[in-house]
Amino acid sequence: MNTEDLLIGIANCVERGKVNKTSPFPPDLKNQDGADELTAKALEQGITADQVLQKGLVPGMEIVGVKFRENRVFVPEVLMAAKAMSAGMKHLKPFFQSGAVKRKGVFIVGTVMGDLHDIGKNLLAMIVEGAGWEVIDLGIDVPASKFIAAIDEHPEAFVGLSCLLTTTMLNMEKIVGEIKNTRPNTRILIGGAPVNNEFRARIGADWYSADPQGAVDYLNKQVS
Amino acid sequence: MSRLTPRENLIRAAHRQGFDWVPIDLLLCDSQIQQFINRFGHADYFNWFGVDFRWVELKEKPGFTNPKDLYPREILPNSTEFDVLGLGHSKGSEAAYHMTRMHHPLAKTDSIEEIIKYPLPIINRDENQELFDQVGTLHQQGLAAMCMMQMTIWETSWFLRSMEDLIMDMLTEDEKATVLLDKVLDYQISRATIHASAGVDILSLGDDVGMQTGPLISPDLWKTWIKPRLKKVIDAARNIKPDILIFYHSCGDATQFIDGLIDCGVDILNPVQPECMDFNAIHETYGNQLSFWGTLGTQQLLPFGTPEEVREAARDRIQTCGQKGGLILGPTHLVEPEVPFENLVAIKEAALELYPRPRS
Repeated sequence: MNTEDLLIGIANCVERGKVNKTSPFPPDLKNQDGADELTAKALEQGITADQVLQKGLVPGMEIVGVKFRENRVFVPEVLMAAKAMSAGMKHLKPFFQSGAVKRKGVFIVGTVMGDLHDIGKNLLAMIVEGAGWEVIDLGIDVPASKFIAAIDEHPEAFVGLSCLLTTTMLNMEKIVGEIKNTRPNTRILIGGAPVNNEFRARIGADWYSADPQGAVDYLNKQVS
Repeated sequence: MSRLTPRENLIRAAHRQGFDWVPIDLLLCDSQIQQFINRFGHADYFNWFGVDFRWVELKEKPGFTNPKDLYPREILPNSTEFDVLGLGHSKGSEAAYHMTRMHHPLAKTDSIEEIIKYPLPIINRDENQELFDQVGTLHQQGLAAMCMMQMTIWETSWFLRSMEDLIMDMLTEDEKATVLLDKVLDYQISRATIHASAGVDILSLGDDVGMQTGPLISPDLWKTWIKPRLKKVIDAARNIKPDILIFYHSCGDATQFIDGLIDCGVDILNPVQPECMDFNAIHETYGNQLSFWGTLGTQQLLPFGTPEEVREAARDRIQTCGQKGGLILGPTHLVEPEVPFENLVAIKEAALELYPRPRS
């Protein structure tokens, strides 16, 4: 396979959620190489790790993010794509460690204090990671102090706050206030079922998105 | 025509056969109940708001002796409590109020044997005479009986296995998915059967298949794995009580599943979240085949709207459904702490203003 075919193949495996050769999903790609094998082959053929990431894995996940926004794929397909992405990424690990490949930046994410919902936050984390960002997932029920500690470790990081309940919107407002008061340069993204752009403006966050890809678009713009 | 009992009125409205007054329903969280008690000196808010049914409860015995044995792969927090299914619930921070974090006993297992042997609750007819008596008493009082069987197939299975693992099993057509879903199906059929035998009027089923922005899982995946099993539960109940009303709950936008739910035999859709479902459009398309329960949003309208806005939305729903009914009006979800009491009163007032309830 030539370089272009391999990179297109990797992107296609991520988009379709084809993890490796033995994976039975998706049924029409049974017994074919997955993201795992194609990434290994690409590196063996001398394609740079950066090219594999930027022209293979990331574009595949980007298509998934867009399709998810448009209700053309759903949570299961995103999970499978993230799994395929991660099968390819494991081959890139040494290149991240050596500094040969760099991520676009750091994204700290968590569900705000009082809120124990994690599905939306997890999807966001997967899609942002798939876009080439390092994601630090602080989990659920996260207080302001934990966000601030993570920001202090990664001062250039962007922060994503998620909530599902109207009850915890108030906590989101408090956390945004505390971060902005003490770490005013930190840019904060918010999301979750009950929040909207009007609420974002009121609490002083920087970006609202109704879907993960909207967060990726914003993040990518900040570093382009 | 002789005056309808509350039960008859509710059932007629749910069948879209007309009604004398608009049935309403609401469920308050603990802190709202406390506020109600502070205001009225008692906790019987169903009676105060004029709710025409009561929940009845099946007794089930846990199938396990020590729930911690169900978690060989996880160290649970000390605060963990277990429900009858063996699901662990551990406390969040104080700010999480009544919400708990769920632990999934079958998460990360590779063993079909472990799934086959998992001890689901034990249901025994002889130990459930109280359920039969409860339903009889409610009927004598003129009230309808409703039973809770939400989290019917998909959610109970995902709660046991974890959503991610169950989804992976389904997509890769792993036998573990079939074994687990069938096991949960058998359990739910036995619950549906005993509820129907007891004479319950409304079987409350449900599985969350919607998100704020659309389906959670693809309608095709649902049709393959969940729908046939949901239909079997409904058929089992109807074999015993053909006129039992089937209520189905899904959070989020469930629009793309409605045709499939009607195929399964669902009568009532709940909650029709107005933030992501267009009630009037849904009613226009499905109003002759389905009734609707809920419809007043707990994301925007009830916590942040004014009583007049609540009244206006309630009037709009009642007028859309018209004289044949097909509406049980109420909040779309549990009423959370920040909803002003006046907004709940506005629901009751709007319902009574258009169709005054005869004095009993």
